[in-house]
Amino acid sequence: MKRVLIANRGEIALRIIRTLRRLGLEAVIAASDDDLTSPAARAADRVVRLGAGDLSSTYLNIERLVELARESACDAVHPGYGFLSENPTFAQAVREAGLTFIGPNPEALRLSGSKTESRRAMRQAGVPVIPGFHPAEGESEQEICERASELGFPVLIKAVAGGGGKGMRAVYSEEELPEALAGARREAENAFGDPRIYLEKLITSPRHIEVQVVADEHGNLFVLGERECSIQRRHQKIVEESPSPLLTHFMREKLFTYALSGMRAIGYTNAGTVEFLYSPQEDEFYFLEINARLQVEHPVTELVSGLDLVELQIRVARGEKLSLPPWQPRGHAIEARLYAEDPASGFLPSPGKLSACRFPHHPQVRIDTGVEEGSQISPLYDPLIAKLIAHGEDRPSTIAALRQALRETVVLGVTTNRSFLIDLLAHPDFVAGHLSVDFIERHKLRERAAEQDVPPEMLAILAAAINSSLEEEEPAIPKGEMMPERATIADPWRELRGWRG
Amino acid sequence: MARLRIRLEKPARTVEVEVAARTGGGWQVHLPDGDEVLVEELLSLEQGSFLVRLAGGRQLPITLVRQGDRWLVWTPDFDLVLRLEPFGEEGRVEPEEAREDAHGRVEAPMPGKVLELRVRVGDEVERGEVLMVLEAMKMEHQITSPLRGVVTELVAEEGISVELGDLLAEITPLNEE
Repeated sequence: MKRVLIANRGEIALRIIRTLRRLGLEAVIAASDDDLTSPAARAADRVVRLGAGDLSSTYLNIERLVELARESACDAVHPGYGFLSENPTFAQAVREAGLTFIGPNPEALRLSGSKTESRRAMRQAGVPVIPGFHPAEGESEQEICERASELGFPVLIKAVAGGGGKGMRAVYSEEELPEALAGARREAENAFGDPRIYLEKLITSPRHIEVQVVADEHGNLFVLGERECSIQRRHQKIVEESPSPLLTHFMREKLFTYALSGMRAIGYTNAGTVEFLYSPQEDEFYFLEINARLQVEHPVTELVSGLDLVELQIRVARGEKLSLPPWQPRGHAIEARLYAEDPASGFLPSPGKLSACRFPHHPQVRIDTGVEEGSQISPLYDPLIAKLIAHGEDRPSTIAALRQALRETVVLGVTTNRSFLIDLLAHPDFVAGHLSVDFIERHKLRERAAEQDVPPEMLAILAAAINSSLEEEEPAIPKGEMMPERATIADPWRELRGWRG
Repeated sequence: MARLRIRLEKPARTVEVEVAARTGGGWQVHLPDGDEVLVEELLSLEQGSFLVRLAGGRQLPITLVRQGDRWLVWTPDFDLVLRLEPFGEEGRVEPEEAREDAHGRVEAPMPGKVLELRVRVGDEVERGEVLMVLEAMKMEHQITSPLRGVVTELVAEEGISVELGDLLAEITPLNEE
């Protein structure tokens, strides 16, 4: 392997480039027109053009990406996360072009992608899956209702083709079921073109704990610890840590056994994650799904292991035999995802231009980002600005370091969840390690963010500071020049007037 | 001495303060409730950053970025967007009024596509009721009514693209009994 095409963008592209460099491999990045001057594109050895247009013609364009990889004489492709990373057709196309796909083998990729098949495989391997059933075609509402009652309410309706919370409904009683069924089917049809749904028992206030696994092509599987990702909004993680504050030695052993036997059963290769939901009522872990890719939160594992997961991915893809010591984490690591989003309005994305973007330099805090001052957070992509990952001797000092790093991070121009994260990390239940996937709702953190007021003292200070800087520049703000509310962000002339102290 | 009106964007709020330079340096800021804050020194650092020195030696870093008449403000624990207007006796606008106005206007919180309309013009809606579903950044977002009222305008139709700040709907408040 000499030259690798990165079929991705942003922070993960930059992060992959870093490892390629260290291993003496050349990095070729496929960039859309908007991304041609991004930090990731600038860091690569070579940029190849995906052109303009929507995602289907750029980062999701299988044919074009394979063609670019061949034209630029790459011998491997790294898909990153998201986009085509778990798409079996893409992996297949890469292989058929005679290139190495840095990821799982085709069969493992296919199995991981099918909820039904992966659940079946896990059950056969002795891994608990959440009890549930798939309604047969044409099964009447009455029959579904009876089976749901047998399962016991509350139940959760999920889309067979689903993901991202679409087509999902929690149902607490028999009476609510018909309407919820119709709603979930409609949503699933709209989102995935497939109205099929299934029902499973709803676990109240579960914890999300996942196991990082890496497997070589010679039958060796290794566990690289767990990550707890219970802090979520909109069914997406925002804070992840390792080790999980929940697990005892006994629980950890059990969880690792589940993960290893599951991954072994499906013949998994390369890096992958087995996600579990922990039910506090039953003190049991239930298989959720396999993420057949490098994950957003992988740095947490890297910090407590000292390993480079991208390097391991490459070594496996080269056919190397891995030999890793038994899992022994070093200290604690926590990641916080800084997003361009507005917690007060239900975490709606807040695209726009970053008029300031600065991160602190602390030896114990890793910053993974793909943006800089002047970057545009586009409505086309995930509005992630940066991942801040702190590493410490223990959980309390790690929380303190992460919180401090967030307090020294300057991002202006878009609304961010920075202050939300700062508050969250100080919440007594977070500090105590009492986590659950409904943590944010249960503690009404969104509502608190919406109500948060600014101390009058702060306003006084700001008035003095702005006034004095204005006095230096011009006598006063011209009157009667109130600008329209929304027009300011994108106007280049305003940017030119951008004031500097 | 300068009398300044600070308009915060989120949460929407208006505060009027008086800033007076102190002999011997620094500023004295009077708040509406009669409180006073002493800013002893303002050290200008690079890139719009300042170090504010308060009484007792307390230090606070801030960063300011100006965008037209808006100020983007960074402080360690939160960020703000505000406007600052000088004011005298004339031209006083009651901030409450201005805010009421905006209440019935439902604007696109981000650029996206209208996926589904859940209401029609003339419908009565409750506060928090879903008016439409907007798709942006590959996710669906429910746009809800900010108040109880009647839908008097519904500009958006299904499938159309909207820009940040576009009017999606107008809700006229219902008189409460």
